[in-house]
Amino acid sequence: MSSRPQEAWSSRLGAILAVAGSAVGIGNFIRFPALAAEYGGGAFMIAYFVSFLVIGIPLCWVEWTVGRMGGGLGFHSAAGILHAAFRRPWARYLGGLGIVIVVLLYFFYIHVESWCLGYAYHAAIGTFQTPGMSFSQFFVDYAGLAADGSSVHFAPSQVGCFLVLAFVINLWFVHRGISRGIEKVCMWGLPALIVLALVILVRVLTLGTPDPTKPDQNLLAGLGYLWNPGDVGAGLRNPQLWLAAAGQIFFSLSIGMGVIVTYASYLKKNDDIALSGLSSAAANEVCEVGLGGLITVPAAYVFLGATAISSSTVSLGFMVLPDVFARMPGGQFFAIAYFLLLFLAALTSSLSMLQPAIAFLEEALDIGRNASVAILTLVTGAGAGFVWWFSADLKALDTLNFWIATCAVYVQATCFVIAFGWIIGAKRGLAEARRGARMHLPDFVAPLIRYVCPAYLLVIFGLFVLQDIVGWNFSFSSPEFVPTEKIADLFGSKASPVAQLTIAFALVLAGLCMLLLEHAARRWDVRLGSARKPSTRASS
Amino acid sequence: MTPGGWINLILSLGLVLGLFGWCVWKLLHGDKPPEKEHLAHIEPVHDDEVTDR
Repeated sequence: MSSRPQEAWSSRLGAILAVAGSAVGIGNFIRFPALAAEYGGGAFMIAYFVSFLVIGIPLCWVEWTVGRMGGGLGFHSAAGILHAAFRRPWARYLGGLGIVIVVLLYFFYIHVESWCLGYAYHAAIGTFQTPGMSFSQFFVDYAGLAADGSSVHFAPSQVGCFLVLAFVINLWFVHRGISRGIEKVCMWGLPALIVLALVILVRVLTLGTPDPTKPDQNLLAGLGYLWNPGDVGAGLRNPQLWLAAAGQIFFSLSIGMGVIVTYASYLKKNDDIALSGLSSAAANEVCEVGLGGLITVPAAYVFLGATAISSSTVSLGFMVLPDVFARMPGGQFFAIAYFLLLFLAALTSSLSMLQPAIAFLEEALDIGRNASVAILTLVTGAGAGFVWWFSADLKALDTLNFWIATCAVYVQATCFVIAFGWIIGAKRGLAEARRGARMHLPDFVAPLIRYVCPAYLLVIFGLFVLQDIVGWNFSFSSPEFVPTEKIADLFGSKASPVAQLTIAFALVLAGLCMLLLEHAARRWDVRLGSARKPSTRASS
Repeated sequence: MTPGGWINLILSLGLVLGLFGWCVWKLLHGDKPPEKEHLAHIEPVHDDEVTDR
């Protein structure tokens, strides 16, 4: 084994902020309010909080527990940790799947991050103040939606420079390591993000009725558009609402990807995980419900009305909001602040997508930081380049977003919680979680993890398959099954070559990861065997 | 904004802010877990007692 220095968080606050930073992302400020407005604030918030309590918090605790356990065994990647914990091939493949997922997520997330940085620059130079500007057309040109390869340019005002800049920033901080890189970014970035959000929140809450000729478009109406309960009973009977709420919790808390597992593996053996896990989840909820829920939708409603509010993150964030800021008094300043906020949120999340892969490469190939960062640069450069080139209609990005960020994450999280609850054992896992805990973890958490959490996840995943893959209209009286666009993209006469190529790319990467895992498993077994020898001698 | 909207907003915000506030309070003032390995039980050794030991 190489003599890599052992890394660790320099403080508990650093670990909490890093996990919270991983969770707080663009979705907190755009996706959450758009979904809440679409499904009606009352029913959605009930489903959202039920999902938070039933799967969000327990899964966070599960991942923190497994991570700290794995760190104690000397592993930091989900693959290594699960291999050490279970000593079965399926376990390391499950961990490997988590690593492939986050790397694939990074392929497209870095683009969204670079858009935020580029939009902050354009806000600063006054691009969005141009009279008569078409914000939709600007985004189409900027991100290259019109044709493949049309955004591959490096002029200062185009996306290429910001993509490279975002790429370098991420790799630089990951190269610096856990305490000097990721922890530092999150210790500064998350508070800065909250300050920026508070400044914008004050602006939004003092908008009143900016256009006296449209008295209906006022702040209270904007807040009501998101928060008015609507028909709660009908909403709660809508399976799509539950799916959207649970998906948002998943997406938002960064669960099911192995990110928290990796971060928690850098804790010490008796460090608290119960209160730390809950604190990071709570910090994410404050940013999502408390800040995201009060900024985006009310601001868009006040200036553009209900019709402008789209449930698409890309459309709302990069076509609607620049228009909103262009109409807002002092809008140039607030646009800079808003897109910097989104960039910081994206940066703390994208760093968490790289660290599991860094840890895996170092453990699997027994290499140091320079070599692992070099390999990761090549892999993520190829992947991000692929997504960048195939930009027409954002097909490659959408394909990864659907099959990886949604579908694969559900599968991974469900397998993970079943393994924890049924193979490690929920009671044993709970006892492990209680070690060093600074809050009492009640006994009911064990059956929650063993029974309720997997059942809830399976039901939600079943709904997801029925709605988004099989295309059921959720009607028993006149059922219809129309395969969705995502299926049509991959199979049949209307298949999209780009979508097929994207999935092929993902499968090749997964295959390479599994090959690497096989190679690594032999050395891990030797290492685990030698680690156990002293205790064997002692017992004999 | 209807009264239901206000109730929804206040309950949702109250829940997340309350949870976060409780976490912060526990982090700052909560009981620390008992330390298993500390040296408080070891008797201090005075210079004049060294020969007796």
